[in-house]
Amino acid sequence: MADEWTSDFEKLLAKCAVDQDFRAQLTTALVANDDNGVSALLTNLGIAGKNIAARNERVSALKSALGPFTAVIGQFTDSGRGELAP
Amino acid sequence: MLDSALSMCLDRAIEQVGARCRQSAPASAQALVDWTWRLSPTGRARDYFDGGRAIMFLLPWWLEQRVRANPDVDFHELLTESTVNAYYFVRLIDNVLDENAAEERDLLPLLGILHANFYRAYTRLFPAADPFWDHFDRYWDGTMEAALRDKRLGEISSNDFTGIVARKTSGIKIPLAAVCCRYGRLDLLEPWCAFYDTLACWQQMLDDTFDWMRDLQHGNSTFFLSEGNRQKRTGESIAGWVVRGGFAWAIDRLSSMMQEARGCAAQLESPALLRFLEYRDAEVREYAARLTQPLKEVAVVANLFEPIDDRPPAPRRGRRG
Repeated sequence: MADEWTSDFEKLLAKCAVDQDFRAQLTTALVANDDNGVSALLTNLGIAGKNIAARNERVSALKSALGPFTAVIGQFTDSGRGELAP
Repeated sequence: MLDSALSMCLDRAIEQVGARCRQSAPASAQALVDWTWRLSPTGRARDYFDGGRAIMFLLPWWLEQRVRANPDVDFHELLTESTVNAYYFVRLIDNVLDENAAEERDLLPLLGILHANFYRAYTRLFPAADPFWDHFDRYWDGTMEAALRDKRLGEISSNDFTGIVARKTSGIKIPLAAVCCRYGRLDLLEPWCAFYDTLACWQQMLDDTFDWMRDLQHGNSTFFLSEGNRQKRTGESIAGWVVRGGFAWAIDRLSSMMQEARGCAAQLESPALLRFLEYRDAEVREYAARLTQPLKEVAVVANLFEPIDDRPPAPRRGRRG
């Protein structure tokens, strides 16, 4: 049903949802403004930008949306749903 | 959420799940109890049935309150014990089918115990020739039929969703039939079941909407993910669709499904049921409202990681179905 092609965004979201260590490392690097650390994590995930400018733009966007990004992942995983569970 | 008498019925039902076979099958009893604890996020089996799942016990209780002021607690103790076991029976199968969970595959022999516990309660209430058993067969067969057909679906249409997927919990109609048969009020059965069909759509949609990551990860077909495949644009992933507009679409669908359920419930003369629906509706709306702004901000991230352009669609291959 679902296609096997996954975008960089889907890879990132899915990885953060299932791998708490990765999520913690990414959060730590973003909070510490460690752009090289963030880039390294993304590269290891196989989703680095095609060029330096694109990569920096992605890191910058992640940094400014860290709170919402974490909140969204939390709401779509078991631990965040609480009482809503059917 | 549960009346105190009904809450005590549930406590006793949970205690009985493993206790009944402790002498004859001690390893099975322990495995069953351990699994029910693991299912619950708090580690307490009882807590698993609070919140949305409480509807399984509340509906027959409210139906009886519609017939007589004070429900018969002994009767509901049997219904509750049966329903807890039926729920675990369905949950175990569903977890194996949805996630191919190795741990739960090893527990499949427990299905025999769970089914016996589920069925036994009704044999104490109704003789073999009682018309109740026709209803039992119809609703239980319907539940299993829907579960089987659901797993065979690839893309799920709106009609598949209402006619098959949302019928997987039709077993909840069995205790409703028990109440109607016990008190000679079969006139109430059809409207209460019709209401449940509308609520089941809302519950399943809620499940699809908030479980989409796990469903995607496990390659499960759901209405939500199917709709994502239909709606997403060239170069857009399911995750991108969700944050850009898919979640908002699902919340709209949930809202119209709840409106339909509340419309049906209004005919049932059960103030407690109406209050429950109002509470659940508000709870989900509040949840969705809290997510709206974060999703907008995450959509900015999605746009940078996943630019939507005029590229031809990337090659796709079906995961299943």
